[in-house]
Amino acid sequence: MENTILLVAMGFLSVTIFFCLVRAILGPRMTDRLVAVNIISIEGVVLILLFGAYLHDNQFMDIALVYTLLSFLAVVCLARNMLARAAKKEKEGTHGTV
Amino acid sequence: MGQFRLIAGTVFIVAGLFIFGVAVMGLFRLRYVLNRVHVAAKCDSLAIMLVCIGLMFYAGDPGSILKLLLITAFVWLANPVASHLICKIEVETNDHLEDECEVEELP
Amino acid sequence: MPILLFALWLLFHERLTIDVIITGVIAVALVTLFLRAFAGWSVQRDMQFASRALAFLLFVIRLIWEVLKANINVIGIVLSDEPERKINPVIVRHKTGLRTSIGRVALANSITLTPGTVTVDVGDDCVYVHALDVRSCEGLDNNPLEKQLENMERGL
Repeated sequence: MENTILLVAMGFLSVTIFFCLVRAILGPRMTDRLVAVNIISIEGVVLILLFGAYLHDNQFMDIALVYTLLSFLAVVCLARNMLARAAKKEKEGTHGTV
Repeated sequence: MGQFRLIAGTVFIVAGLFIFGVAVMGLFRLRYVLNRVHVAAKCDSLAIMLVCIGLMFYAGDPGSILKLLLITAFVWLANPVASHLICKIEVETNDHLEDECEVEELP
Repeated sequence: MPILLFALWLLFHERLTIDVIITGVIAVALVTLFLRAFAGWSVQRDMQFASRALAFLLFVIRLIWEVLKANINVIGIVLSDEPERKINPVIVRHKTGLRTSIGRVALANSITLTPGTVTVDVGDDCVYVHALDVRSCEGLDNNPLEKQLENMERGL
């Protein structure tokens, strides 16, 4: 009973991750993609946790914890990179007009 | 495993998955990025809390419960920061911001 | 702080044997020395934080309640038909009396987590907030969370 519930939950999560991926590919702006990637990473954490419960293995919780840290870092790095790029572009633009 | 723990855990996990589904629906139904960030930021933080509570009922031993609490706390700390950065980028790079929302005052 | 770090170490190991305790004590001592040298850690500051632990716990409970309300709100908006036509997004400037940086960070995070509002930028004495709906930023002006944070700061 418990295993069936967990399997169905994992299947549902996989479907939502697929739709997030569609959004990440379609997204007209870069920030759309970042939002989608953020959701995908959190759903990935939940997927790892559910899989750990399905296998009755406590080690998966450590993996999920580290994955949370890494996914957060990934989003922050991408965001900082894009901010720096935007600032650079703005500087060049004003320089060009002046 | 007791019947009560099974039912309680299932209820919480199904609620969390429902909220994840709403978050993904919101990604498709809302058109502007700043509105999408709302759905992503809020639904994710509540959904991960609900799923973690459900898994606490399933697992039952104190080590796992504390670890799940730690994961929830970390996501609650990190998720607002990520969505805040996304908003900042959007405000700084979008040229047509006034079409999407009323701007009272900009940083 | 060292006690918390040691508890975290034991939590990651999930067993209590002599080798885990010895390596844990060494690691915690190293991290504490590092914090004292580079991050300004001291016993007095730990005591100050500990004295406000209860207020912080109340704040967290209140925050969870607000997050629940926020989610019901956002889910209602998403599931209604034609969601973009009903809402009226706006960016506003919100003045805050919080002085310490930790207080402002906590305020920004809790604003992002509560009904229909996301922090866009944090200034010296104000935060810029994007609200999903004009109605949701009316509650921003006297929200109980900010009062609780101010009380916590006064105890500092």
